[in-house]
Amino acid sequence: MTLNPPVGASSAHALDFLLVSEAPAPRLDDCLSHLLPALAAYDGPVTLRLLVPGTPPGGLAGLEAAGDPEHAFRVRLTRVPTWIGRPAAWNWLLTESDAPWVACMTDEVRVPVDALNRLRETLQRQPEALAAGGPMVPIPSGVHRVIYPGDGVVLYRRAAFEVAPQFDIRYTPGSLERLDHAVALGMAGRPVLMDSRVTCGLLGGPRRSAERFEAEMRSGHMKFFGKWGDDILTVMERRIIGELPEAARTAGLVVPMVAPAAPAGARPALEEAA
Amino acid sequence: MIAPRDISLVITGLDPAVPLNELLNSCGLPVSGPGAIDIVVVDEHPAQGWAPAPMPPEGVRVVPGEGRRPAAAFNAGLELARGAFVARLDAGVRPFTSGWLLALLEAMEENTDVGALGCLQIALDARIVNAGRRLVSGLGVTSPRADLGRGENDLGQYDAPRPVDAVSGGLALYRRAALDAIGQLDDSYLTPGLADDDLGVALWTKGWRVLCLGAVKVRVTGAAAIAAAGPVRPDGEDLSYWRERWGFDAQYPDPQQVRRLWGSTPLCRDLGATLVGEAFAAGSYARTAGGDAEHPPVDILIPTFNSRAWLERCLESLADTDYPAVTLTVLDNGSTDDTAEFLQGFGERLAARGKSIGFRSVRIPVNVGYPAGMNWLLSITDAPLVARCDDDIVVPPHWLDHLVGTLRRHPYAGAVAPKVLNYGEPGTLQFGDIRIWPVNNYNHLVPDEGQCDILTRTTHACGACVVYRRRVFEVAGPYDIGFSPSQLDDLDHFIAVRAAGYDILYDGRVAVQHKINSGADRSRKAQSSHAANFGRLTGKWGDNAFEILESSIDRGGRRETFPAG
Repeated sequence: MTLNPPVGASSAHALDFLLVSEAPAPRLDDCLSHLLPALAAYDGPVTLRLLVPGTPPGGLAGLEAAGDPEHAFRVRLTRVPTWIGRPAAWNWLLTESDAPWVACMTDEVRVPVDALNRLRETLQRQPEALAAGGPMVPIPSGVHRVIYPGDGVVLYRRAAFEVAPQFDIRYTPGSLERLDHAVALGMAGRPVLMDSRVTCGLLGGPRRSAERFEAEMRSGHMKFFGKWGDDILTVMERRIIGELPEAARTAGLVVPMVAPAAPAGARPALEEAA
Repeated sequence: MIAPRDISLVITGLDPAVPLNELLNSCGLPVSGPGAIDIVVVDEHPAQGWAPAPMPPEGVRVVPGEGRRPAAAFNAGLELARGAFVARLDAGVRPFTSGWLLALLEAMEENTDVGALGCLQIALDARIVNAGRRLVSGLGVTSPRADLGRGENDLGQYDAPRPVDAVSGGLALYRRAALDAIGQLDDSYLTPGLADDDLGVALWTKGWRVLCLGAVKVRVTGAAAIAAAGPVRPDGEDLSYWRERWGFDAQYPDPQQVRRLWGSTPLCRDLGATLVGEAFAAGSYARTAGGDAEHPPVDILIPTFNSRAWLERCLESLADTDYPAVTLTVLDNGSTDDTAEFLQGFGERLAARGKSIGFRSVRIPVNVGYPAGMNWLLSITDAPLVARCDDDIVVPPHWLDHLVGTLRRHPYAGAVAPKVLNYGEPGTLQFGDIRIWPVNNYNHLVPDEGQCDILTRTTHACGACVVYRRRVFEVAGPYDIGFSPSQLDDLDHFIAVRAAGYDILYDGRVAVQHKINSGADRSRKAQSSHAANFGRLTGKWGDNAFEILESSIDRGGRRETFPAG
């Protein structure tokens, strides 16, 4: 489903934004109210790919607002008859995606308006890195080497899905699939980053009950450590520390940034991380 | 509008350390002036001196209740209470919804057949203790699941008034006429909370409804109140007394027994005809898809993923099913082998061979797992009966006719499963009559010498081939996708079906063959996934669910002698 016309040809900055929503309730509208300006502010062609179970009652209104030329980007809506869980939902959207940059997010997240440009620039300054995420709470200033890029918005290079092609559906309906995927990237020797400049927020609205969430997390942990080994987090942490220079180790694993090659007409480089 | 003079409040469970005035103020109760209500306080600690110093407010009457059980203390207050509506407040709970009494009274006024009205109990950690109790189910009063909403966050999901079997007595509003109809609270129980459960059952059997109004919220703070609100662990005397009083086992309830005893009363509102479904009961299914009264239409549902090697033989055998109204629907779960090409031509090949069986396939781009795949298939089909079939089974032609016949003869059976033999080794059992408590006994790899050719009630059956009433998925819910990609999703759903009050039947008089594929993976990754799913299962249903479900069958009759409902 395309609610507004395609925008130009794809480019090296083209972005597929993969958004999944378990319950297309008012929270999806809330999420879109923050996300659409962020997509509009992105410095390159964007396709918003949204997967929802059933028919989103209010979400379409928000999407139609994206028809404003100022907010022009493509919208692809995938409806499934029942909820299939987050890992399968992202995998589904990945099969339809071909842009060189891919962002993944759930509708629980409030994304800052400049998030996507900043994350892309962060990855461009770290050519080996395949994923960069925004934290859900403020963290010490800088771009950090991490095991897990967080629960907020995560931007991936397309190559991330060549290294680890899919999210593991064992973590359905959704608990540790992004950690699992990030570990796969890390074990392949590709850095994963977290950028303090892109602090996201958690939106209100219905979410899994405490008991259900805990059961899912317990089950997810067993699957995670069973798959990777009980000492995987120690192994990953040591690997990161070993790869960083001494100064970075004592500064919260802050990554020294390199200047990206600026394409013609690009926006001014963002401020260097502290 | 109910006048203040028609309202009484009985307060029990006082803590000597908390002055009565402070309690009344914290509850926002009018104790003087025109809006004052009749308040009776049961003093269970007269020797400790909270009363008469400080003196109770004017209009508050005090009755001694030393050494009495909570139900007896309330009964003592009830004798003095003058109102047509009697609120009960245990001092160990604190209502924190402003206007809570008015809200309860309005709900009571709007529902003239309600005898008791409870509220949402919330623990100190902000999670729900209960939103009412569900006692009359397959899990009984000792299961943590008897407490509706236990452990959940309060998101307003229980705000609207809803029927429940019983409400906790921490804060409740009773209609005097209803209490008069049943006498008073039975104070024979030693177990905290069980007298409240007893009251709920008594009200329902006398035609009064019990509701929980979750919009009124109380915080459970006192130790005694916490004990009363926690999972019920009755002692032996209490259980015997309950059985004597109500005729069924509170701990191991057999819904069949409950239906026989109380089927004509609203106590069985969730265990009666609602389980069967109007369409199936009235035979209206016969109007669709070529079915008739004896052969309701059946949707055979098969999720498949990269099983091309087995799928053809499976579908060929299913296509040979000797049954007049069958549609075969296959969900290609993102297979990367040549399953899609095979399925594309399969329907045409069936038609060319003159097969009358309906066939369609649906392809999705990724593997969503078995439970989500089954839910997908359920959402796009509509026959009154549903057969869940793995893609690696082989069935005899008469399998469906036999299993549907069994289901028809047992109206409260929600599902029936056949004997399962090892594919390629038909002389050995893969799954016979399964027990999951006190030990797991699947009869796995045992020579098939007819020892499992029986009809029994069960809790677990092999999920490779099961025939359900579709109604089951409305009452007990869909499959839990948390068990993705597979393993134990079938048992989890069987427990939900049993908890809803259905029987599950094992009918070993018909056998199918099954090649274990996905379950045969013994890698560390697969084994940890299986273990995690098992942990999820016990966490979801409580550690004693297996014992409750299996024991209730043993007590009520397991084999062919069991009642047909």
